[in-house]
Amino acid sequence: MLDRIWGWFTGRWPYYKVRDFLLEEELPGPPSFAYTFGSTVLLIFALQAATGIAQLFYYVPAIDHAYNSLAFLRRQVPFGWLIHNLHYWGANMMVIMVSLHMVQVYTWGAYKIQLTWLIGVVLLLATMAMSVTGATLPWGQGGYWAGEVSTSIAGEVPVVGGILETVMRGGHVMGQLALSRFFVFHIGIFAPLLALFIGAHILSFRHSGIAGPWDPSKRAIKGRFWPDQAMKDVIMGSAVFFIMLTLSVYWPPGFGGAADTLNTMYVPKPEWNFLFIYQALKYFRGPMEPVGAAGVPAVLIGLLVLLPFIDKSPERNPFKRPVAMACLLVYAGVVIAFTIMGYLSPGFAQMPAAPAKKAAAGKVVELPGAKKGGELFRSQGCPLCHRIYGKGGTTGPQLSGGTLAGKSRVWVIAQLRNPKSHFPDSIMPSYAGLSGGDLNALADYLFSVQGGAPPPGAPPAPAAMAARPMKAGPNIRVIPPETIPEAPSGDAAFIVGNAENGEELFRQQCGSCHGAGGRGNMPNPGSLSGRIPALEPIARQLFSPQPDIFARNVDKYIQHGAVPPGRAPAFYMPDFGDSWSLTQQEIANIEAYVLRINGVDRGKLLNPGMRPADFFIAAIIVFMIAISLIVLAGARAGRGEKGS
Amino acid sequence: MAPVYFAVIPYAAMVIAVAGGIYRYFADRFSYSSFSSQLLEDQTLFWGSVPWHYGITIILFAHVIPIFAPSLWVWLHSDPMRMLIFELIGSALGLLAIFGLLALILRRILSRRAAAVTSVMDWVLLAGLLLQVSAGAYITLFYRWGSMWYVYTAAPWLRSLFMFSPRPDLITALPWVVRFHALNAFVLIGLFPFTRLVHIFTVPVSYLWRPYQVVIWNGPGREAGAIGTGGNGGGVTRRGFFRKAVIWALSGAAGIVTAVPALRFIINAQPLSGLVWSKVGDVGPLPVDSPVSMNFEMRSTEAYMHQMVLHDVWVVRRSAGGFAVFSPICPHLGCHYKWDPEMAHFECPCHGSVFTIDGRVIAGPAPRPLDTLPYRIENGTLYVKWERFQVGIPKKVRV
Repeated sequence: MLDRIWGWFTGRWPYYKVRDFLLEEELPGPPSFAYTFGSTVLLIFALQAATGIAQLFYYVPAIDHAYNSLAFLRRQVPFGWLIHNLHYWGANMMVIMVSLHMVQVYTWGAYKIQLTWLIGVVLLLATMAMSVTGATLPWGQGGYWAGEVSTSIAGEVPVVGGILETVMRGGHVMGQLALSRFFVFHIGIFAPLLALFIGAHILSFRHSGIAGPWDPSKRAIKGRFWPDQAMKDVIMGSAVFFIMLTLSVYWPPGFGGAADTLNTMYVPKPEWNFLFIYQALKYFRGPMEPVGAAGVPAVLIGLLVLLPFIDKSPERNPFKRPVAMACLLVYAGVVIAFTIMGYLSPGFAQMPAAPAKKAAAGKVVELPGAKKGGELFRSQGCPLCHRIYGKGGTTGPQLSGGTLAGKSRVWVIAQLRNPKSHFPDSIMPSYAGLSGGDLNALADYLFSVQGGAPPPGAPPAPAAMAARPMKAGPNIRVIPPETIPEAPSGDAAFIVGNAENGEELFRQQCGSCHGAGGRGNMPNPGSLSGRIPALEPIARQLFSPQPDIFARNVDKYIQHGAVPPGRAPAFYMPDFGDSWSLTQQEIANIEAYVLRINGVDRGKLLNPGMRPADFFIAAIIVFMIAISLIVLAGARAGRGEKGS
Repeated sequence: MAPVYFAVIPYAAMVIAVAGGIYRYFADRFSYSSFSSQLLEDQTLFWGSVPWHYGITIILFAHVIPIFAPSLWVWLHSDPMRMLIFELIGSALGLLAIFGLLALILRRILSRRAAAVTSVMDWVLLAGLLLQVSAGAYITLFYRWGSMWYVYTAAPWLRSLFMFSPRPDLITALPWVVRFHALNAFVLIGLFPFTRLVHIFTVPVSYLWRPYQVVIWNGPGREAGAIGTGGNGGGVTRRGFFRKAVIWALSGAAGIVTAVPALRFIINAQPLSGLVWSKVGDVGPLPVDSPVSMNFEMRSTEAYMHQMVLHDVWVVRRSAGGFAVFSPICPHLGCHYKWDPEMAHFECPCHGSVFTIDGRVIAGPAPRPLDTLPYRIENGTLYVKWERFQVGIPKKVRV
């Protein structure tokens, strides 16, 4: 019966012809592991297509849901972690295998079959395009900035840049329209293009033949693709697949935090495969930047395109092509060196803050926020206690003339937030209710007055205006304590934050009161307990081993603030969310950090289908069974050989 | 000193093992072997080599698995009987290994031919191995249930080494025998490139793809043709069979490992979030025996969506007292039914099911009465728990 159905099918569809076309290929030279890179790329592409399509069952390409839907996929859908991690590592592995493939083709002199090489260059570009567009889709911090920068680079290309940028972003900013476009480019344009060109690549080398070994005597030995070369392809493919599996289980990509343009603690840096362009662009500054933006990639790609037309000599033995091999070393050396330099460079946002040093030298510097800071200094009532250029109150120390010598911006902001963090007996009130921007402006102002006298033409010292009484205290909102338990948690509670960034933010925003690592036990006179609660360990009623519940409990406090019970507590928790001092993404990162110091992983898998480590063992068992079958087959074949 | 013993020395040993191993491989490739002395003496060798290798290999695996799959290991030991069995097997294998090793050492002392080819490094290695397995056996016997506590002490330490974030503190509190066992293990790893231990990596894996070899007996009787040379007949097809077996077995394994999780990934019913009481409204003005549709807003959580959604329910104040709250979804196929005030019954516009004011089916294909929802009344205000039920079946089953 099955035979008849099969016969009916093959009678109408050229199954055997297709099979023979695909499998019956004569190779010049014996089969080799050196030829397996191309097929490994094909295998990874297939895996990327499968895992990519699978993710579409849950992923939503909308800026308000992309990050959360992916976090849901990874944490709450069975094996979502596996599908996503395989896709992530597959993307990295694809770039590596394409590079290895190109190096092999170059070394063997196989690019001399011109068209196959040119299609290969197109495939390289498509792979890189997939890399950029794919990294942006989760709408996390890393991908968002990769998208922003790559479209900006495209925008700097002379003449057509504006149009390019508009096409890529669907407008002028990175927003919903841009995400939609990245999504469509990724799955609807570049992926099919990649498939199409892979087909063209295969047809091209089947038509023009593959190069084979450079040694003519070796080329005389004819090899077969099926099953000799195919077996090596499969062994190599399985090894790469197993590496990807291991990486997916033991080195899962972390949760980078949701995209947030206001988070200044984040240093955007491209993925490793674009670090060399990132580093190269640093050498093009000012008016030269468009030259670099368009020129560096154009030169790198142009060299690859022109290669088969520059080197037309028929010699393929790498030992007889010293110039070509030297070029490969230089090309690869430059790319690798730039990649390492880019990796080690601190990134622009971490440039050391120079102002404190300059101020110490008695030199007056103009800082961007100084003007706004001066106004804040006045409106917050600082001159009542502090003198600037000799004017103001005498309760606190004079702040001009080098008082802050040697103090960093972080120190000044910590002092403003929680004066007791540096001087336990200080009576200065906390200004933690001010936003980060305001505190930075105040610091700017304070650094700008470190000279001994006002600079010529400077606005008058604000002390003269300091007649306002300070009964109402600093100008921050007072939160009635009874509203806290009823208030709902905010959006941040549903975002899986990035604990590393949260740690930075915590140090900046929370550390001055809650202490380093949340272990602080700062005094809070006037409150019932007399202490600011430590966060490690956190109060028992807030803790939960379930990360989502734990985050929701902590979230209420960060969003809405809290006033500790007591007669007149000197400090209370500011409402970071309600006052917009922190973004929801930043709050989510801080929550991830608070969970981490209490031993709970914010990104914990809630419904993994199978624990990753156990799945790995299961996979090993499956492969062991396969290998035992192979050994059995080998024994059978071996016995046959002996017995004949 | 703990960081030196349990972080610096391990890494140094591993670097020596890898670098030295690679160097020896390229500098002196033919020395990559076990230097078997089997041809010099093979009677005692059997009683030494076989128990030693079976014992030590399995025990080594038992040391490695908990490093990479602690949860699996803990699960395997979660039943006392299973744990007892594992401990017994482990102890037996350990004794087997010691027995074998002692036999090997005695052989090298007693057999003149074997002693002649034994180098200083061999003696160092044998001594190190004997110390190692003796310490292991001592631990097994005197610090009971090592297969269990290992997962929580030394295994995390080893894991930390492989993750490049060494935590020597995990092991410093253990008894000195255990610490010696751990340290000596890395000393042996450091000895790896200088001894015959390198034969661990000469396990013949390449026979999977190396060209077909004809093995012939090259000794006496060859000329007489007593044993054939294998010949070519069928060799190619058999080799082809083997290679296809490799292709299908490996692709099959990779396919299973991806396809099964992918299916589970797609066949997934996400449980609804927990039910909460939603405030519906004031019941004061409700008429008697006349259903009223009431709308209310509730916070809904579905997957990653957290939003306020509007629902409606049919509320009936019964003349006999009390209320009935009906889900507005027809139990037949999920349409929204409505109240016909003239006929005084509920009617579904989709397939014509008709229900009484109590929700009983009086006509049409509906398989069960209207679904009631849990409610409570507090100070004249109605609260309802919004639930969904499977449609089309006679039983009321919550989804």
